[in-house]
Amino acid sequence: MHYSIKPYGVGSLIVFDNPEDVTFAGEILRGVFGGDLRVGLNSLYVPVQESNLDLSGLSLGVESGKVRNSGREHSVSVDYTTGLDLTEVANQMGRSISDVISLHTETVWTVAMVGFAPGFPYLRPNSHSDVWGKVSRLSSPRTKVPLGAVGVAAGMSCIYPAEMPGGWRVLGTTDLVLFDPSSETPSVFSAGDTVRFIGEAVDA
Amino acid sequence: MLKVLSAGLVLLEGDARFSFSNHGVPLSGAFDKERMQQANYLVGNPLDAEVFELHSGKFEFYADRDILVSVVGAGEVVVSADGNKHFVNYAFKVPAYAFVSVTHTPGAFGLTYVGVSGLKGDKVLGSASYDTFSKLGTKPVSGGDIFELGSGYDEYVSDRILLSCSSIQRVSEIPFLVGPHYDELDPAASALTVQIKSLARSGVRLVSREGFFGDTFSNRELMSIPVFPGSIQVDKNGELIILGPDGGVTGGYPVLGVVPGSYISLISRLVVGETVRLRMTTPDKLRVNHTLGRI
Repeated sequence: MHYSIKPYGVGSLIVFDNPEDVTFAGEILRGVFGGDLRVGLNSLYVPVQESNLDLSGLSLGVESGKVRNSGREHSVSVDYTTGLDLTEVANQMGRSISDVISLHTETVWTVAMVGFAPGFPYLRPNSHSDVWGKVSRLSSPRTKVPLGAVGVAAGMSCIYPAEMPGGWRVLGTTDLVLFDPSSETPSVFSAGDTVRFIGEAVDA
Repeated sequence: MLKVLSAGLVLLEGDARFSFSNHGVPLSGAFDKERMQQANYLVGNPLDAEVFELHSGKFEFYADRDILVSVVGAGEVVVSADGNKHFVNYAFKVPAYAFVSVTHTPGAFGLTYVGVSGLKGDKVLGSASYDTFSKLGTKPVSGGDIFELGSGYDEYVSDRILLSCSSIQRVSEIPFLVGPHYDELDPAASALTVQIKSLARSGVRLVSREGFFGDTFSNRELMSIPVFPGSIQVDKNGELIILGPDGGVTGGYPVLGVVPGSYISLISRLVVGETVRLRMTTPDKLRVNHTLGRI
């Protein structure tokens, strides 16, 4: 596991060469820093200066395989008939619409982080990352993306927890409520969780 | 209870929303925490209790019992209670059903805070503060709104006054700690003079007078990293954004540095069109300066 440490205010940013290492490193460091640990797509923020940071056990802990991802598994139903950008995504991936949907539902996605907006999950594919990497963001973001829109862009997938501006390409929509402020854990998703999408293929 | 008669742009703010950043929830809370605490101190409230944060316009209200009111701000702030003129930075008694009117003029060195003895808001995720980004918390105040008042004030509080008030001074310099992309500045600068382009609870947009950023950071986007109130981002056009309390929790722009949490209040007092100096410091120097009473 390779990483670099950068100063970040009163704390430090640990930047990982392999973004997938964030999940397991986060498991270890959360045990030390609790809720003060902050998660990025390929980085972790810890509230201590580098001189006070001992990461000597981090690589060993991750590479030993003893660290297990304690994330939860989710199944998310998607209506792909509402996919605003299905045709363009299929063109960019060089596949049929039906194949795009099949691949989206076959792929296991890991929640890399929750950010941008309350409950907004950034999902990293556990396979076919090269294929999903062919999909670009919208050149001009929409001023209003529908509530529950399931998007893909730049190798990742996401779900919009509310109607809001956004530049991800929309494959479909879900009725799942992603954020409940009355709950003690208001976001349905947490970093490290896994997601499988469920939905029917759409005729081209 | 307290009833609002009319309100310009007025928000209910108080303590921040801690422990939910990894759920995508900004910290939020009062933009000028120092003035919020002063307003609460004057009326005998807990320092992080809810206050009214005035951004512009006139704010008028009354209560159905005797209350203490404080108004903390700078510049053109006009206060009256049932025809009696009051000044800022001290507590004054307002009898039941007497009307209170506060007018705040934007650009006058920051926001105005109105403290009311016993004021309470409905909490969401531990805070009643309104987050202009995620829309969590008490909605912006408008005429007809009713707020709960808790226990009354102790009589000894009613003579409180702020004898010295650093919070009303103009801000000429703001310290920052180094961020993860600071070492990419060529040449690295220990002080930057910037001009304020716009200011909102989500953040302050600044342009550099030295022109350091256009070449180094233009069109630079990276994998999103955690950000905080005070994070100094460089956007695609080379402009700086210092995130405010309602700024997002992750961002894909390079981060030069971070304004320490205890200095976020200074950001709210910047004036659009004027210049300010961002001065690099270190955590050790911050501790020393706090000990010596310097900012």
